[in-house]
Amino acid sequence: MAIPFTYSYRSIAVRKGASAMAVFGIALVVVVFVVLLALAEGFRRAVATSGSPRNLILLRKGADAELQSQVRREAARIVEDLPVVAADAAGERLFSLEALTLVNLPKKDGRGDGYVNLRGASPKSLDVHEGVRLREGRWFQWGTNQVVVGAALSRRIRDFTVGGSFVSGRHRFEIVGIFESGGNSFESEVWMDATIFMAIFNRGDVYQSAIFRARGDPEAARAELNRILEDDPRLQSIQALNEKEYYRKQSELMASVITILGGILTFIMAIGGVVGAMNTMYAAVAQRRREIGCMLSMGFSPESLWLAFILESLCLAGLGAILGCAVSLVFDGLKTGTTNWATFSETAFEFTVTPAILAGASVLALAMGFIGGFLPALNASRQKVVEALRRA
Amino acid sequence: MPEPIIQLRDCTKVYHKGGERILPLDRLSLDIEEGDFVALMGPSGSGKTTLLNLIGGLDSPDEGGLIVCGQNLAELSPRGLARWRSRHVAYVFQSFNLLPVLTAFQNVELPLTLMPLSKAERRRHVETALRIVGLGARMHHRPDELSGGQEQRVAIARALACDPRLLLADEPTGDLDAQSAQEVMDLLTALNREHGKTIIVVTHDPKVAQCARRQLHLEKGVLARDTASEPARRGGA
Repeated sequence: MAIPFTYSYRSIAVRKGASAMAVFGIALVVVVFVVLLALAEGFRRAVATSGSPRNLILLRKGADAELQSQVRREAARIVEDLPVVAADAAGERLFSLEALTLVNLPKKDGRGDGYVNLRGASPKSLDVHEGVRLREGRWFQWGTNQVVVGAALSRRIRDFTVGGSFVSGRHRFEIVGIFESGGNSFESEVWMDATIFMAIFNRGDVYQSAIFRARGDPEAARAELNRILEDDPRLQSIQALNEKEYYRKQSELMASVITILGGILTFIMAIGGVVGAMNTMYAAVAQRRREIGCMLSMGFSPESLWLAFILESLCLAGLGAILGCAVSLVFDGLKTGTTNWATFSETAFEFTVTPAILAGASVLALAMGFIGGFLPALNASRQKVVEALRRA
Repeated sequence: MPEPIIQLRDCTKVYHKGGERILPLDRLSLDIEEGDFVALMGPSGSGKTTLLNLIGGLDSPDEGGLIVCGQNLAELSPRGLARWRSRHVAYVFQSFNLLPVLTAFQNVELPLTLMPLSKAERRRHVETALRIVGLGARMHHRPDELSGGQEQRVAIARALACDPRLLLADEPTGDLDAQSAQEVMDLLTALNREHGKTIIVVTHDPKVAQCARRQLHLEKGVLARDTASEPARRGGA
């Protein structure tokens, strides 16, 4: 029979100072863990949710990112006419040939410059890219150097407001609108007319990508298209990827780096948390030798003593988890940004605390409590009853 | 003739301290009848507490045999010994040893959780035990809200709750003032007389010893004197 749980959780309050230190130590680890994972999750969501699963993207073979890719207009036009490309109600192909470059612009917070994706969009871009809509101002006029900027960039880049402008090379671009796209990475881009883009940046007929709506099952369309690309000598330099999958891969590198670095930092801090919990629990055992001896004399088994002290340690850890999770919720939705190492461009996103992250942090805290409490609890369970009563 | 509840045969306990061999008990043989009230007396280091620990199954002799409540304790595993203790023996300590985070009710209920009783049965046992010791009205107080005498009475209620055959008390009045000590001894006397509990009390106090029917004087681990007397009534000590 186990020692009542009441004994375990009430004992925490007996040594308020030591218990509070252990709880704060564990809470600190939980906060760091949650915040770093929320950072990685926010980044992953912003980038990985950018594409549509119904779209395919054409890139140069071997290119991991649009910036490394080259797609010739002639090759793109051949693909556009293939039956794998869906058409709208008017019979026009949902196909967008797009160009991309990086422009260096000063950040709003004054901490240097950031590289921003400038995308040359085609008339079908808004139909192909789902969820992109104007939030403020108006769309750019075709045939001009007017631009619309993503809502996330408008918070991070200086003078990115409707009516503002920026200079790249010898050209000034006038900002006429701000668009949003559900918080994904398109909101970290600037869009303009692809025709003007190609002329300004002397791109000739080499674009970066072509995005189109697949007719029917996107996976079947992709397989069919890749077979055609392999067979046609004019198209052998390009490949078709699922757009959603493409953006998921874009998010992997950065999210993995944040997660791994966060994991290392959390691990180091968790050692401190475990030592703190262990110290507190050893003190608890030392202080309560007489109680231990008394319970053993009553007939409680060493295992029930071990369980009582482990539960006490888990209670400390549980309080740490609750406190840590509560504090880290403050970061949820906090807007930030970083350079995406896959695209070298500024990507804005929000810290995203998910139930899974909070559950993971709670498991981590309880694991710290268990590990920290294990040896002290073992020590308690191995007390010789006569010794324990005598030492008191 | 019923078997004695405690039978010690040539029990020896040896400790080694700094290379020196110490014999707290030296080939001690002893019988105690069920329902007896025994005071263990003697100077410090004479083996009183060691003897109490052997009888209660908290410690084992290095030599000799010991049968308590019909059980040869040498035959029991540590787990079996713990189970046996929970059914037959209860302790009252000098410093009460109540768990400070639990109420009087919960302290008394603690050993009952080791028994196959429903919650309602446990409650009934606890309330009865606390009523016997006169603390029915203070059952929801924590130890730090009780006086020393009340704490010891809760400890006695805890010992009583499981209805043990044997109640072992190690200097139960050592930390109490004279009045509280007298109340505790009155309680133990009543438990012996009215409830038939076999009680063994370790004490230095002759007044406490006079409450017992039998006084065993230990010196250097051997029984120096074994005297029987009619215990004094309250106020006559």
